[in-house]
Amino acid sequence: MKKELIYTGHSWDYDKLYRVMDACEEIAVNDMGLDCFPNQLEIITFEQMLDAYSSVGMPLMYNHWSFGKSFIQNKKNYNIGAMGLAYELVINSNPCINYLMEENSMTTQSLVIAHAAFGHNHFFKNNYLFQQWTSPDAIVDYLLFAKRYIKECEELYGSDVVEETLDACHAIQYQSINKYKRPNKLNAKDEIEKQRARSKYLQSQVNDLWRTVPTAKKEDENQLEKGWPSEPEENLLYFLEKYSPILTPWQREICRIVRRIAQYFYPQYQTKVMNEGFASFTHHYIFNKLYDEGRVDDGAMIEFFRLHSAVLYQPPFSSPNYNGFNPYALGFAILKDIQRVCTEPDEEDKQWFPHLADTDWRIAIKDIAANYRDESAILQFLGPKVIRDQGLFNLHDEFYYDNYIVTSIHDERGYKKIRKHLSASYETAAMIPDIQVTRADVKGSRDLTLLHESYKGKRLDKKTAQQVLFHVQRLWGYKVKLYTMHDETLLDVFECKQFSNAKVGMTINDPW
Amino acid sequence: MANTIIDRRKNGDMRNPGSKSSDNRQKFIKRTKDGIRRSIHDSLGKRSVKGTGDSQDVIISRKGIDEPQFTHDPQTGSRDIVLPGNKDFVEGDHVMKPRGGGAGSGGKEGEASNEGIGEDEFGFALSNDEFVNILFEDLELPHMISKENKAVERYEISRSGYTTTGNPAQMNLEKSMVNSIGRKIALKLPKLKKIRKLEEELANLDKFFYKTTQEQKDGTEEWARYQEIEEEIRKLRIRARAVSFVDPVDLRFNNFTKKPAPISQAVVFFIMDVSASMTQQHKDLAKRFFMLLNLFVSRKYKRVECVFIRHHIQAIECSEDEFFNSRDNGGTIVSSAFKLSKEILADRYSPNEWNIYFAQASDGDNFDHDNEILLDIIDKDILPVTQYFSYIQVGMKRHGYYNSGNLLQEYVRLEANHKNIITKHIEDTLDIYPVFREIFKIRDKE
Repeated sequence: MKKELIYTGHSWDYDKLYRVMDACEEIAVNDMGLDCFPNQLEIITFEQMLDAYSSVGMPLMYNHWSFGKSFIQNKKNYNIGAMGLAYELVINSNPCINYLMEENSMTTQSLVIAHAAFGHNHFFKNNYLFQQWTSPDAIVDYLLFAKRYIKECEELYGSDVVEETLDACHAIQYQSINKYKRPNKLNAKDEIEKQRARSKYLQSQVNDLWRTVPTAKKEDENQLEKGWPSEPEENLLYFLEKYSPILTPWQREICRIVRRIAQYFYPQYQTKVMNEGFASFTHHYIFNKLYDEGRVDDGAMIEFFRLHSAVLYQPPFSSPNYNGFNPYALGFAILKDIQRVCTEPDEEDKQWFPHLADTDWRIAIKDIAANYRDESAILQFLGPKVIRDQGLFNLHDEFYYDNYIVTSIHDERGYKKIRKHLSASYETAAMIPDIQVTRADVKGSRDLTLLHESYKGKRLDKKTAQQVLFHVQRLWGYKVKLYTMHDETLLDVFECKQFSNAKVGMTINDPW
Repeated sequence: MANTIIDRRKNGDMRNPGSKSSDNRQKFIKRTKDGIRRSIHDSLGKRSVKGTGDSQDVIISRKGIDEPQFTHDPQTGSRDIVLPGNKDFVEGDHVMKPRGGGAGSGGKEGEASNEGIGEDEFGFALSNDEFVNILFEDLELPHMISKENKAVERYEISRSGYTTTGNPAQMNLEKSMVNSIGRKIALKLPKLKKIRKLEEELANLDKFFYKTTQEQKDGTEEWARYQEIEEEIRKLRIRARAVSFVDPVDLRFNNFTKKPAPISQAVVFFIMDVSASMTQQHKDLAKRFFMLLNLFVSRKYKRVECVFIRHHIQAIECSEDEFFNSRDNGGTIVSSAFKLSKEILADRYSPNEWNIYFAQASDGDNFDHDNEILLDIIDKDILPVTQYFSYIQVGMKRHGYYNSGNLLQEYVRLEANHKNIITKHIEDTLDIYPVFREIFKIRDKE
């Protein structure tokens, strides 16, 4: 049955956009069986896109000079043509906010709608990490709360101190994520109400901990002498927020804001490949379907393929453009391969994916979107065909070698190893150094000890480690040491060379 | 599913009026101000300063604007790297590690620096306004004072209390109503509430007397009360009617008066030596200095006039354009410029009404016998009426023995008797901006 074209021509208008939304939704929901948040498309200018882009992709972020810096950078790169702008930006919120740039052609808008408004949207709503770690209902309100709170702090305490505090917090934001314990759901209304009570309570806790006037020995005093905290704390900002001897209540709140926002992004960088892969898979499927049904014309389809192949281009390692794996390409290749395995499996596939061969691909794909992150999805679903198609190979490197050694290539012996190594490179610990608070000398010097558990003997970059340590020291107020340990071996000790007594801002509510 | 489309183009973000990026940009500029100023300073030497133009490129050091994070040192530990695009490697092959740069293995490992341009530098464009703001921040024309200018018909309208008469548009409602309330209290205007209460009581009594005859009513306590209330209400009503809600005596009007406005107006004399002894380089230095001054004055002050004077043996008042572009020359008699200035002052700029500033640039050469006349005229006629006199000498520094050709030295002698003269030396284009800042930096008010 031939249907009517939903649009023709290059330029977009609202009618066309609504028709495309409806057409995409029909396929996404009725055919693919996707389950999405309601969509809110927002038409913006390229400047606004750059703007959102520069504020970690959030529609309303608190103000900080670093966002100004990245805006300037992005704009410059954009102006000289060094950077193509992302076509799409989508916020994991309910309703799901999708940005469409006014400069985009109608086909680009349609691609973005299929990709983000249905692909990413479904992923956000269904992936277990997002379900566990984010609160799409509350994020926009929480950001609004954060923005206002920080603005108020600037008015009350001066923008310089606020800036310093934020700088210090930003430096350790990636070490301020709970990886195992599920965070409380965000709730902006509560947040504002509780914030008052919390700041008082927090300060009283801190005062107790740091009491210098001797009190009768309690039982936990013994604990303090044995070493405190008794369990290492993986969330640095959480620890500083709760226990730093020098921070004022509002600074503790800023620590909290920064770590809560960092936590919000935690699922994003664990699912980059699968999220983009799934969204690309979705737009690819929807567009082909639209074309098959005669709802988009040849011109639109040609433009679609041009865009699609540009976004999904994977330069080979030898290319000067090579900059790691393109998550869109890798994720798309894996999912496309799984679809093939489900619908037309060959002998090899039956051997590798016996549980998938000849099953409904829709169920398989949605299962991957819902229950895996990059590391586990690659480990389970990177098939031999993708490895062959992309010519994947593995180099082994020890820092004392003169050469890299090719340990595996795309052959029988190599498939599983390559898949294991590629998967491992998406482990959180491989990307972000794992640093924990192990000891705070509450009874004596007030020194703080951090431990970096080395991943495969990797050490920290010395210069940046030193700089970050300086920031931690500012938040803690006393000396901070950082040890890098690999197994039982001590690799490095970092300590700020000159300890500056310059704490973050003035301490109005100094416990002593 | 309810899908919606919202146009956010016009106002940025509805929830966030005022562009996010512009706030963030100002924060960024504030943070890097020192670096920007240094960059401007460096670049001032290299090109001319124009008050117009689209934007100014600045390059600042990355120090202070890096955002450190804990990162892995790529040259440590063991690792396995999976890469795409194998063509001819087989298992067991050795591949040379890329050398050089020291920045890490291969540059293919997704290095942290995706920020383009130089390692330690950050370049971007300042808008013209941002540029000028930073350029002239903390600078002023010193000792500027307000002088009442009676000659100029300029008035400021200012509020000055209230009057009892005026035009209705200027009625001050708040004041009028306050008066009205006061008057009503004073005249014991009965409260509406009180009347209501009485009426209520009356109504109750009415119910009480429902279907009773006059005979039955007479003599009862309630009837007496009934009549009492009626009488009271009648009186209150009369009183209420007698006291008006708003009376003409309540009315107050905002009063405005015209005052001759004291204005800080100033005139700046630009005096440049264009004699033959001024080499091209000297003139270039002097012109750059004056361009900066001109930009400063025109950007920072609204009511400042400029007088441009060029001189060799003769001084000519000229237009701004001629001042910067004309190319005649001759011998040197510096006093001619000040004689002319004196005439102009007498003619157009009375010291009672104007703040007077002088900025003079020369290479220091003067006709020998002129020095005495010059110093005399500056000492007696110019400095006493001047707020601030700046002299800059351009070209190589001269030393004591070259007395005759060194105006700087002559002027230094004036510093003993006058506090409002400053002398500086500019040897090189790089000196211009620091010297300029030095001359016009904001001083503590004495």
